[in-house]
Amino acid sequence: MIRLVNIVKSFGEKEVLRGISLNVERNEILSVVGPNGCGKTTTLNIIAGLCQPDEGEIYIDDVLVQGGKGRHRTHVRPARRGIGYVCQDYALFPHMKASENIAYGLEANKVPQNEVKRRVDSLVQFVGLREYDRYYPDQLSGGQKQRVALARALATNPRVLLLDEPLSALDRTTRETLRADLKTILKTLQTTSIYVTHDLAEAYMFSNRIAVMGNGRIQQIGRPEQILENPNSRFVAEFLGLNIYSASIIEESIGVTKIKINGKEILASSIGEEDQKSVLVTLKPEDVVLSEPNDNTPKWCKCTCNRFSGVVSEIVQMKSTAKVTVDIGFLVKSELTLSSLRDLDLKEGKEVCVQFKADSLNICPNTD
Amino acid sequence: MGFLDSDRISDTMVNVCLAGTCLVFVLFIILPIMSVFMNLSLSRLILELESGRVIDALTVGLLTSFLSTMLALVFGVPTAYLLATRRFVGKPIVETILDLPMVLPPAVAGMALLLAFAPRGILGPTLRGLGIILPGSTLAVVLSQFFVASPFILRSTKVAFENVQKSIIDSARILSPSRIRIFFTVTLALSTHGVVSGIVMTWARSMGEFGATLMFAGNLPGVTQTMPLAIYTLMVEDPLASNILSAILVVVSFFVLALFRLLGRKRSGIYYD
Repeated sequence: MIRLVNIVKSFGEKEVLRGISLNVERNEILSVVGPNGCGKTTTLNIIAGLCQPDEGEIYIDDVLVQGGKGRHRTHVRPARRGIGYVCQDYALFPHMKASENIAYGLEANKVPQNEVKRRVDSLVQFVGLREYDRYYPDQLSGGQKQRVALARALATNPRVLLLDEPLSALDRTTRETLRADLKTILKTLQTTSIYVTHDLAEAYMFSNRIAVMGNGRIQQIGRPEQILENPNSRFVAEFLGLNIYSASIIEESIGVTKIKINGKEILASSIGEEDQKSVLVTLKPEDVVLSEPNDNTPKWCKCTCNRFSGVVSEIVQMKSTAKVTVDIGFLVKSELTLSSLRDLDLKEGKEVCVQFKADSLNICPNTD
Repeated sequence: MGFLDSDRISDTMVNVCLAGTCLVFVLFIILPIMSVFMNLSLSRLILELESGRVIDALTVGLLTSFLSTMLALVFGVPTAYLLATRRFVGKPIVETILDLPMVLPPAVAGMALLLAFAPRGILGPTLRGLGIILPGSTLAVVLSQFFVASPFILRSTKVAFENVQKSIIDSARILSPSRIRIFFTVTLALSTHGVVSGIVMTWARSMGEFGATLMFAGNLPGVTQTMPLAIYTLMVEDPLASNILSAILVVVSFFVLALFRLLGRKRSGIYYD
């Protein structure tokens, strides 16, 4: 459906995209995540045709919309690419009413007036703005503006919907409501979509696949659970907030591998095809279980469980969970519920028992 | 005395200073303007209007300033759009050239126009070949005003175009395949305030143009004699007529300025002032 081939883009000296290749299937929702300044928005702008790449090609429905060089350069105008775009700051036309904003694309494409009216009416209803269609953007709240922006993008029946952090400018309550609505809308429409966000939770909620971007490249692309279970590099693991360690392999036997992190021997499940001595090991904080220091009952079968005692070095409380960092010769982050935190009565400097299963450890090649 | 009192006193002093400065400023402007109306009588006004000198000057002034403002609009708006939205080699030079008339003394502008377009000027022979002799014609008045006043519309429109958010234009580009449509429905629509104030300033400057007009177009009653020229000419031979003309100019200027301000506010002020 959408195919990007080796897109390169620099702004002056700064190389923003260093060869992006990407395929988005029909009716798929792909989330693009990554830290600020990694080139997510530039990628979206290039697909939309708002900005031209230095190199590379873009195909939409197997038609070349961007590519070639010099006199043979192809650049199909944004409005001729069949896309809808919702951007972070809504970018509504301030001098037009909500309904006029939504009608703009239809009128610009010479759709007959009665059809425009019919379409605007149904969209206003679809995004839940029935009473507000005569309001000007500055009379609408952030959430309402975003709904108008979405309706405006959908008005022309785009083949592809591009969403650039559509919820990031909203307050939390509005964001949560709109997030749920947006999910329903995207599911109902089944339009091929690219959803740019720096919020992992949003990406997991909306998408069939996730692409993690960093340093102007796509670092990893795959199904959400695939990326979380098997991050392929330190960058992706760091972005996901996992525990990451450089380790060396000591001994491999059937089902179990012995590795060494910072001098400590640890059991991991068999890594199969990996053939390296030095590897990168990742561990999800929610897979690390903390218990009383003199707790002698192991959580899992002893032969596949790692069990250490350590000292709590940092506790960060969040809305419903807490991140506890424990020093067991190296630092391990664990995520637990606030009630577990209370039950264990954890304090910084206190001793605690740390356990994690061998198969919670994911081993990937060390690219450092 | 507590710090509350001393704070209050210093606040009061600042306010008094600000109000005082403003008052002196306003008085300095309003006093001469008031004096223009002091010696006037209705009977004399009617007499002057009947004599035709005032009507002629007023007609020439309004006609030429209208035409030169239109000319400035036709050339100024597209040029402002080009300068606001495109990058090209030599752009700073182009901008400097187009701004130059604003700082050039009007007498120099008049001289320059003569040297370029008068029968013995650079383009003189060509123009004469086409049967056009500019000095002494109403067209020359329009050109003098256009030369001197056009930078105003150019500047204010350019700033307005530059201030239209890029993301709004981008949204329009995704929805509309026609760039012309985007220009009129979005860019220009969001810049009305700038364009309108550009028109006002250009028109006001045109209406008051003196030096360049006098040198390039001359001072022929009914043809090239605009209001300021008539005021200057009549100052010696008929001071009261000169006074009446001044008063009319003040009133006309005041109303047009007020009208444009009102229009500007209605069109665009509500949404992003």
